[in-house]
Amino acid sequence: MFDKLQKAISNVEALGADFVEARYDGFDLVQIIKENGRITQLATKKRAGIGFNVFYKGATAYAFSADISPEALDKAAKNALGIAKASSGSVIIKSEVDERTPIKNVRLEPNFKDPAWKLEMQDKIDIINRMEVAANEHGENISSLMLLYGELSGEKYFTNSEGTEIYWSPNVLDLRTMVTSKTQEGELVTAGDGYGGSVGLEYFKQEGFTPEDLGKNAALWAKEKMKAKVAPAGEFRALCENSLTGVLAHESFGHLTEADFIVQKGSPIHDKLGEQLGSEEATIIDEGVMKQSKHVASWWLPYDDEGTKTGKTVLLDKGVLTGYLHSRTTAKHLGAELTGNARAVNFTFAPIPRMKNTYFTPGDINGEEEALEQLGTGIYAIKTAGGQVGGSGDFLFKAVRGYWVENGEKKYPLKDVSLTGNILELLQNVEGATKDFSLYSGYFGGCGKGGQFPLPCGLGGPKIIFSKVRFGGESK
Amino acid sequence: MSSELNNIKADLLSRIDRGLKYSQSKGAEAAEIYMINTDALSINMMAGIIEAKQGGQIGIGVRCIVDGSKMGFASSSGITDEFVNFAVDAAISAAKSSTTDDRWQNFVQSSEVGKEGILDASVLELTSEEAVNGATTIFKEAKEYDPRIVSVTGSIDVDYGAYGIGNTEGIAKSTAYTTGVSTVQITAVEDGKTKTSFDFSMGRGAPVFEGLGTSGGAKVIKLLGATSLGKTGQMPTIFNPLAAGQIIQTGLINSVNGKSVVEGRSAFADKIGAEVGVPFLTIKDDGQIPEDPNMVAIDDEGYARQTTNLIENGVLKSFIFNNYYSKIFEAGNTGNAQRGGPQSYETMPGVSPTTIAVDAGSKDLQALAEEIGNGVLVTDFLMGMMHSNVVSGDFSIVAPSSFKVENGEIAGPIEAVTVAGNLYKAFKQIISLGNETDLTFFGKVPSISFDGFTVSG
Repeated sequence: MFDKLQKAISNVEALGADFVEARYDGFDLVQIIKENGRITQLATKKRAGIGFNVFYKGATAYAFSADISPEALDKAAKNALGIAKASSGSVIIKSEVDERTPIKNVRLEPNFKDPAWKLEMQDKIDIINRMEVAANEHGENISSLMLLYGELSGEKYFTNSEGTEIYWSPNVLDLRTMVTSKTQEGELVTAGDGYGGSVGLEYFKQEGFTPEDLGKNAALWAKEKMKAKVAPAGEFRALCENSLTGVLAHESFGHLTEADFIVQKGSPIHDKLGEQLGSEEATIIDEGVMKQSKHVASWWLPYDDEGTKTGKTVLLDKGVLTGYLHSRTTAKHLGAELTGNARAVNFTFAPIPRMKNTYFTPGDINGEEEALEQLGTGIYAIKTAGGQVGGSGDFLFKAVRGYWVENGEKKYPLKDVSLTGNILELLQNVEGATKDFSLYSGYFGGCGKGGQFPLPCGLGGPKIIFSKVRFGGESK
Repeated sequence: MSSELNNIKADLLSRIDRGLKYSQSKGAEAAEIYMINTDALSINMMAGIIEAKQGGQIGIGVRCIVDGSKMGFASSSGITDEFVNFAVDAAISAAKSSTTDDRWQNFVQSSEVGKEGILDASVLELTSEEAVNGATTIFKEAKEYDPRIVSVTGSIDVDYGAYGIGNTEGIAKSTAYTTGVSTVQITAVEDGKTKTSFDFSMGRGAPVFEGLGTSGGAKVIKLLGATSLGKTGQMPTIFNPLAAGQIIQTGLINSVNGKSVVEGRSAFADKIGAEVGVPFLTIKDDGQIPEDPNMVAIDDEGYARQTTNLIENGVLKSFIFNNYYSKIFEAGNTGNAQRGGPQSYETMPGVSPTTIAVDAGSKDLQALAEEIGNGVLVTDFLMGMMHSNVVSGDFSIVAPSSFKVENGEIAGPIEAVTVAGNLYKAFKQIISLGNETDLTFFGKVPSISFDGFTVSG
């Protein structure tokens, strides 16, 4: 594959291209969905193709093809060069890269004890059946039960004009249970449990993470939600659980540090490097390769899609903005170090600055009980159905479980509750964090930007106490 | 140009025919092949950087049945014999591991097709130079509009192609499309406070770009100098067409979805014939609007696209279905099979609205404001809409581009407000419908005023 890609690179270099990057992304996916007792999806997918990113006089263009014949490779590379030439006269901010020593002979495979792609289809179905049995056993008045299994494996080849040659094998495995229960009043409430990451099947043999645990938790949480009350609207002290703080780190802060937004001055923190943005308790990191453990199932990303080795980037250090997430062109433009954040979701996209595994660092509060005590009275918000952030840092997140807490005690469960505000204000309200830390990624869901969705990313952190969060509440 | 699209269609149908024969030779009792071949050019002018991309969807999705009703699905990028054979083999293999489905009957049998949308040659003829020029014009217009504008992204996207569907029930159909979209997103800053605006043009031909930067620029400047609403409580709200489209679409996406109805997740499941909205509310799922970029002749499993009355004068009339769920519910297929995602061939056909169309009222924005007296006007993109609970209908969104309505007048801009309510109660909380009839990314929905949402800001 490297030879085929290099041949097309040489051909467009001869036609005037200044610099060329080429990729082959080949992914194999398995997705099983069982709904209300029936397997509604048993799918095998192959997603493979090539793409060329061509630089010409400060302009770049990307062209791709699912056809990987030598003619198709040539055509894609030439198309990209043609568009780059058409753009070169109109570019105001030039896209250029600094020269770099080529990286050769990189060949990386994940090291799993029990890789999912080796499992027979029937055994994969058995896993979701185990979630199903547990959910039915523990649930109450279930009106809908959905079980999901998702798996991605594959190979990525990267090469460029410098002669870099990198091969690695991306992997992710994910299990989910979603339960909908009907209350006596006929209202439908949903709850789910599930985890994913670059892990083998051994991950789901650990206590608390077995298919039985996931099915049981989802069912019990749906049952609990049948008695949940509407969260009050207004400003309250808040305790956010680990996966929710991960989403805050990723969605509301991480995106603002992506250097394409910085170069374009589209981010509200584009001119704030070195400034104290948050409280001293707030440290946020973006990292490519983390040590997997019981509570860390990160997305394994050794190299980005420009062949840069991924690092550990401190974005916010005790509240001070210390870095942005770069591609080669943004790093060159801003005179910054490379961070290895140029990522593309598949061969149909050029890489752009994206996050890897993004998290708040832990603090010194001893677990949930002590955190609730320190919270006193307020809202304990748990897990999330996702969120959104605008260019100005305004955000909205939906916590899917929660409790109203008084004097350190959980008083009653809450329905879905939304957290809103501006991240730059929220970071100043970080009062403390727990010692416990967890981080997950996954096959289902993922990050979306510029039409590139779903890109696997890891999110996580400790539990965090905020002195003040605005909760949206719901209509009565 | 129609010859180029016709050639693509003919090529797809011949490859599908070969694939179906291959599936039968490999033991599939029934099979369906979806195959797509498109090309797209996208130019983004982002604050002086041009991001350009060319390439399309080329791939297949195969469903095979063995042992009467066991189904497997497989997909592959690429449409040459090698990939078709891979997908057929993988689908048969998956089917063998699957479970029987007592609800399964068959693939689409009807030979009818809907109307084909407008096929506009200007999309195929647009050169990369012209597209770059378009994006640059949008950028310059916006940038020069006002010194408070700090960041502009202008984009031109054209897309054309065709897809085909064949199955062992004997259908072999194809449809083509051409689309052009231009957008502008503008950020302006005043007194350290940031606001963004968005404007667009969409259709079946090469996109319009002149004037877009100026109109987007005017929108963002109007948002500057926002003050805090300074109160929380129930108050009337007006949603402009883009914002109203998001509310209505989210309110229907699950409730009228035949799959959700059958699977027990729809709040409207037992409400056919019941009043679910105000008496002047009529909503269609309209898959046959010729100028709509989303219009094609057949749905994603080969059934004819059509127009379905969902809510008529406030009364729920119909759900939407694909082939599978229409048979379970013993209702007519409404041509709503849809394969979502950026690579449609990777997805099995689900059920999804085509274009939501709300019959317009007679009031312009000013008249809607006069009617509510005091409240909030919410415009453009809402944050958090897609995180609404579509089972219960509860929603809570942030509206970053909003205005105060005072004494019947649209007054100054306000800082982001939170709006919460229930999507299903909302249909009955409509005060009035605006008179706009333009298509947006969220259907053909006019401005709508509502009562009873909780606004906080």
